[in-house]
Amino acid sequence: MSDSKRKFTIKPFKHHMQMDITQARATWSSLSMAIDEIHSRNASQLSFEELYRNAYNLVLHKHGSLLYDGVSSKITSHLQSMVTHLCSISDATLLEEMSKCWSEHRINMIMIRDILMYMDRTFVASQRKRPVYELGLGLFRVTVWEHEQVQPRVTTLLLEAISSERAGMFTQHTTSLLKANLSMLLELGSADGSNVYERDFEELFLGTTQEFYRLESLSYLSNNTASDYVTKAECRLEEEKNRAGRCLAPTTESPLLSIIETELIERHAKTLIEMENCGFAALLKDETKVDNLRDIYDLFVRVPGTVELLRNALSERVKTQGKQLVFDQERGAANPAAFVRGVLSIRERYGRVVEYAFRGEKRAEKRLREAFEDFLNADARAASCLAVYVDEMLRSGLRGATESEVAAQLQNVIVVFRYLADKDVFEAFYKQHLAKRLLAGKSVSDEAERAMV
Amino acid sequence: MSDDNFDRKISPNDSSDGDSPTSYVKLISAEGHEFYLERRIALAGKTLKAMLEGQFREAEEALIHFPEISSHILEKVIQYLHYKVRHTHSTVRIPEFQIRPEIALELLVAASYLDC
Repeated sequence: MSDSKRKFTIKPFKHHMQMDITQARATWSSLSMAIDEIHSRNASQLSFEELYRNAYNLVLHKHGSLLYDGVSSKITSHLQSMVTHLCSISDATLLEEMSKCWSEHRINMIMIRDILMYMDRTFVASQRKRPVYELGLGLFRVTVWEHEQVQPRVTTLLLEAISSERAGMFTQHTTSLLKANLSMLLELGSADGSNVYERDFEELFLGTTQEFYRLESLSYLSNNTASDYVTKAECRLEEEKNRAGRCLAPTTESPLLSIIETELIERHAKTLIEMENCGFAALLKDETKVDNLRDIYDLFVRVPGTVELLRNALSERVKTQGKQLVFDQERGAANPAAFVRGVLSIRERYGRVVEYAFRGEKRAEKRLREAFEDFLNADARAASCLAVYVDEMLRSGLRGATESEVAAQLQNVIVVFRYLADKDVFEAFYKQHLAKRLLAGKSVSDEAERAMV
Repeated sequence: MSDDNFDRKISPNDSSDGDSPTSYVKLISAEGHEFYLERRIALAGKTLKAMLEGQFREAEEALIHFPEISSHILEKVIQYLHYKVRHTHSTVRIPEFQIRPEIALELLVAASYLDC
């Protein structure tokens, strides 16, 4: 451009002959043979440049349609012979053959796409046709996959493969076949926006999964304790999640797990809690079973609605035990101090349950507190018992106790105090006792008194 | 003829070796001139890339014939590929790629053919 002063001539353009239809057909026919070679895996002898140039020339000379339609029908006829072959394969090896055919087809399509790159860039874009690769995949879907003797069989085999994995028969081979066939469906779907994966696999898969777990959960329940059931359920969920990650589309995982959780957990939550001797409610009665409680909680947490049932069970248990204490107190079987000690011990025990089994969940804490408030305030006696307890403590119980022990004891009292609704009742009793103590000079330590206040 | 003509002996490429930095490919023009260039430079052109990484003869032999591209055009294309690789992702001002107007048209055709 900087040499504009110099006179130059533009060399005459290399004269391209107009390509008439006979020449075009001849060019096409050599391309056609090349495609046959590609399909027979003999491509390594062919020259890319030559084929590319042939395609280029056809498109350049306005024979793009001839080329495109020709390619399309060549692919279709090859696929037709492929599907005939697949129909003759028995079920035992169908998945494998399918996978092989698919893989071959992809490779062929990549090669064909490469030599037709010029057409993709120009003719396809301007005529708004499907690019060659997507065309090839679309044809595969229609000609091979959707053939009535192929798709139903393959889908059935895929579901059977998953069933056998669920029954415990894992093989590397099955897994890789599953993955290969399912990724084929995904790729076919994304090539032309058809929903083959969802329509021909996922829907059915989710349906059969639901059936399977509905039956399996019933059978587990009738043969196992709640804790064993929980272990098995967690196992299954883990297994399904792994399989989903390995073989299925990422979008399947979430609905899959949700269905399984509904069948295994939500449906049977009540049963698991109320099961005789081993359900959640029963386990609450046994101090050594906190681990089991926690396992049940961990399982239920997957379906948040069911945890409420666990909290109910906890609340019921605490109230029952509390009411028992109150009842004992009424009958006069236990003295006030024993009552308070009883309350404190329940509190400690179920506090641990909340912290460990419920993993310190706030709602569980709240329910615990409410349960205490419930049975303590059902009876006016609680306040007076507490006052008596404190009295005893300050008179004699704290004799010789260290400062921290004193603090701990007082802390306990405060805890129970908080649950009381009628705090002024307690105050009244306390004042009475305090007065008596001071008059009688019976207090163990002044500091303790002050701390209490 | 051009800077890109290397005289050293090239060991035969097998496609698995194609990633080593000093492997070369050979391009042959219409007049029969042979041009050697580094494989990684050649891969900068889309059609060349497809040819060299495909499953056809060219990929196996690392050799491409261009019976319809003249030497002076092919030379310019190779120069351009060097230029492109050199200045891709450059953060400083890129120098202009000089093209003599006489060859512009033919070069355009070749560029369209080779998609680069």
